[in-house]
Amino acid sequence: MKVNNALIISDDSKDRLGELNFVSHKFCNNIDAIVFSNKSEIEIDANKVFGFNTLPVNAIDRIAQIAKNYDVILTNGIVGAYVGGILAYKLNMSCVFGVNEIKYDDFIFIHSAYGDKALFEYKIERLPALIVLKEKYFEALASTNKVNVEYVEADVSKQDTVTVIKEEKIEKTVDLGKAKIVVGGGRGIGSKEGFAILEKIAKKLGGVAGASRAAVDNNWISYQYQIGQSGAMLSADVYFAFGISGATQHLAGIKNVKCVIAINTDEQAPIFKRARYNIVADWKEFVNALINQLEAVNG
Amino acid sequence: MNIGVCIKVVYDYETPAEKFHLGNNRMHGDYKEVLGLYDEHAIEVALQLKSNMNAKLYAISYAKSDKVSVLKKALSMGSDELIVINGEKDDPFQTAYNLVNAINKYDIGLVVFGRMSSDLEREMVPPLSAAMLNWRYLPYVISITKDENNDRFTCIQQLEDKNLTLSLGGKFVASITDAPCNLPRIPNLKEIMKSKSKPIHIEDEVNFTSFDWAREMDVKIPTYEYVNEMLPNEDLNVTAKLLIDNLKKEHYL
Ligand SMILES: Cc1cc2nc3c(=O)[nH]c(=O)nc-3n(C[C@H](O)[C@H](O)[C@H](O)COP(=O)(O)OP(=O)(O)OC[C@H]3O[C@@H](n4cnc5c(N)ncnc54)[C@H](O)[C@@H]3O)c2cc1C
Ligand SMILES: Nc1ncnc2c1ncn2[C@@H]1O[C@H](COP(=O)(O)O)[C@@H](O)[C@H]1O
Repeated sequence: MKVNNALIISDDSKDRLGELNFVSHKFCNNIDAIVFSNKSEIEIDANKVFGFNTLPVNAIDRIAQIAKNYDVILTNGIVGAYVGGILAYKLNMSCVFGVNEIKYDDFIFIHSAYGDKALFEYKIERLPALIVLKEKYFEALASTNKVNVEYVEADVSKQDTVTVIKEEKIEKTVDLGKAKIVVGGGRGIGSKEGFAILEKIAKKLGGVAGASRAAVDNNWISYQYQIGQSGAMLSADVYFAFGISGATQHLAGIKNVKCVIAINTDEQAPIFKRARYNIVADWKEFVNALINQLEAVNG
Repeated sequence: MNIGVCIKVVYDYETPAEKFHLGNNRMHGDYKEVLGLYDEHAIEVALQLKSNMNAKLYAISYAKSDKVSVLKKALSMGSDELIVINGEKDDPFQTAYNLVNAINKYDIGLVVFGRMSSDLEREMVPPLSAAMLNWRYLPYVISITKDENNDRFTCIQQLEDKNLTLSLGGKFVASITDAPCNLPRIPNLKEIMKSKSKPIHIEDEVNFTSFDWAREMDVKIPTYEYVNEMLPNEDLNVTAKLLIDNLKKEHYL
């Protein structure tokens, strides 16, 4: 299928735009973009950049008017969640969601489902097509090409506008995706105090703490520490999994870890199939032993 | 105003990889059935809103009617009525279309969905439903409250680096992501007993004109091979020392 032009729709995050920049140029070189931003220029390999500085929900009709002129629409992140399904339906587009791999020549899009236990292959057979990419699965292609943003009015009546009445920044204290050593804890840790111990051992090892969803759900540690399909994707050399069973949704976030060490009281725990070193033990007893030995080695 | 929560029955999403197998390109049917993980959070948000605005809450599912026993959990958590549209296709357009028919029929003015189903994980059904209803769509919401003095709602949306508090009036669809504030409640005995007499409506499905969104070519189970080594655990000080030595030898520490 010949793609004459493509439209990128996202916010102004460098990574998200970079990933869309990379994928869109595999289809064609005639790219425009829509960004949700308040910047006056954006670095992207595109001819034209339309801008909105409102929420995507307020701009959906204007976006549809612009989008109908393109063969392929590529989107991701929160903006993709807002506009993907709505545009596909309104503009009668073929569509694929949650794409984590693409066979470009065949127009085949791969989406992992069942918590990463199965891969679905979808073929797009007609244009226009809308493609929603999963974040962090594609190379982020940086650009030095600065394009002025042409701001567009959202065109909704005052009565219908969704307004932001408060914005609360979540202070990011860790960058799990970049850490070399991560000490993760799960439901088996049992308490907030347990996580304080894990943070201590992480520090001793020169790493950071992380967690499974069950631990985050229990409020033992905040969401920014969650590892897995709906949390961070690690690229660490070493990952300690203390009291984590190894659900595939958790394993999805440690796919790229070089050396996994699992500590679990249940010798049948699935995490042991993924780990390089397996230790059947109570996490706390093993942490104590590890601290002793690290102190003996490092003084 | 009536509110709705759309829920899906899925096979146990915590099934480990080595026990997972396919039949007809879908997870094979011999696993325990549960409600989707995000759907339980959506029920919790809907229940909090229900008590906040004294509304009637319908749990809605497009599913084979024999899934009622699993869907009843929504009633024992506190939903007022259950609507099951009897069908089994997993096309997102067919699903959304049938959910929308029920939303219209039961005069529902605000609907919440899970962020994604715990099996196919496409995040398609909520925005498609919003588009078919021609209502606004807010993703990644963690709480919804009705304002006291006017007809507007306040929603908190959880993004990667911030929480946004949003205000809107009129009809809308929200998809719910998980957060400690919407941890699903565990049904208590009183609610379980009460749920036994709550109405269950079974509706017939209506076919949506097929929408050729993409062709499903293949479904594969990925295989990963890892080398595992069990370390001795009689004396954990010895285990820890052995581990540190190995990690040093392999230049990880
Ligand atoms: C769509 C979707 C997305 C999801 N995304 C994520 C995600 O991003 N990240 C994530 O982690 N999960 C995710 N999940 C949830 C996932 O399915 C599991 O529910 C979760 O990972 C379980 O966490 P856990 O291993 O800590 O808890 P459990 O499965 O309960 O495991 C606890 C483990 O601790 C062990 N244990 C208990 N006591 C001790 C002790 N004293 N010492 C040592 N070991 C002990 C037990 O043997 C057990 O193996 C997702 C699920 C869905 C459906
Ligand atoms: N068959 C269904 N019946 C009711 N709700 C559904 C159904 N399928 C999906 N949903 C809802 O849509 C959400 C997203 O599903 P999906 O688009 O499959 O990721 C789910 O969390 C449910 O709230």
